[in-house]
Amino acid sequence: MAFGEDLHATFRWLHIGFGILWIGLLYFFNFIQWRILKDLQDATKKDLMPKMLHHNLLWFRYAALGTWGFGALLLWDVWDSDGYENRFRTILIGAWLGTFMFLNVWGVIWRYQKKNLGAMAAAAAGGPPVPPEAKTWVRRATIASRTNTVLSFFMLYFMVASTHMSSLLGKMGG
Amino acid sequence: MQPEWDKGWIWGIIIVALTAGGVVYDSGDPASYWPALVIPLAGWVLFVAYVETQKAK
Repeated sequence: MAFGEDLHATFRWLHIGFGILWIGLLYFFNFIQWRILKDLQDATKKDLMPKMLHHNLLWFRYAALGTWGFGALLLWDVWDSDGYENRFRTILIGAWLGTFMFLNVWGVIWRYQKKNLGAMAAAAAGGPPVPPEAKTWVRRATIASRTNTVLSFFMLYFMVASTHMSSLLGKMGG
Repeated sequence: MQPEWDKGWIWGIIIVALTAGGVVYDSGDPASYWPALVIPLAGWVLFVAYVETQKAK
């Protein structure tokens, strides 16, 4: 290990901690939040949404950054010691899926929700109303969020399998 | 069903299949790491291209 055991364990702790926050918020958005929001009155929604989205997305996107950043350091450390063994290949699949999820957070979900938040804030401040394109922004962010939720199931499986089921790729024909 | 779950499952499975397929197919020869790099990335690029074409219903 390039970093030594103590640093590796610290990075792993931070990777998992940020990961719990990120995936916890992702599941909150996809399994809980929408159920509550759909039953609210429009006026309540208008008041609540910008504030809630602002704080949720702030924690969400930086939790994604922390998870991915510490994960990248760990991957480099494992690469250094494991080469291209099956254990490394298994975690590589999980790492790719985590990378796509991270890119979806910053490149799709946040890119469109930032526009949406800006439009909502402008309308709330007496500026122009939220434009009709906002529905397209929200739809694109929603598709990426749903896809990330599905990817998270597989990503977690491959991450766990790399430590506890290193023969997985042998079974897959790797 | 919640809106867009169907797209989430379809694209999730496509991306997972291409990612796992690319990594498993890769021989591990340092001179040719392309399957483990290019095939997973291709799946994600296709996904983003799809998302960018979507409009509000």
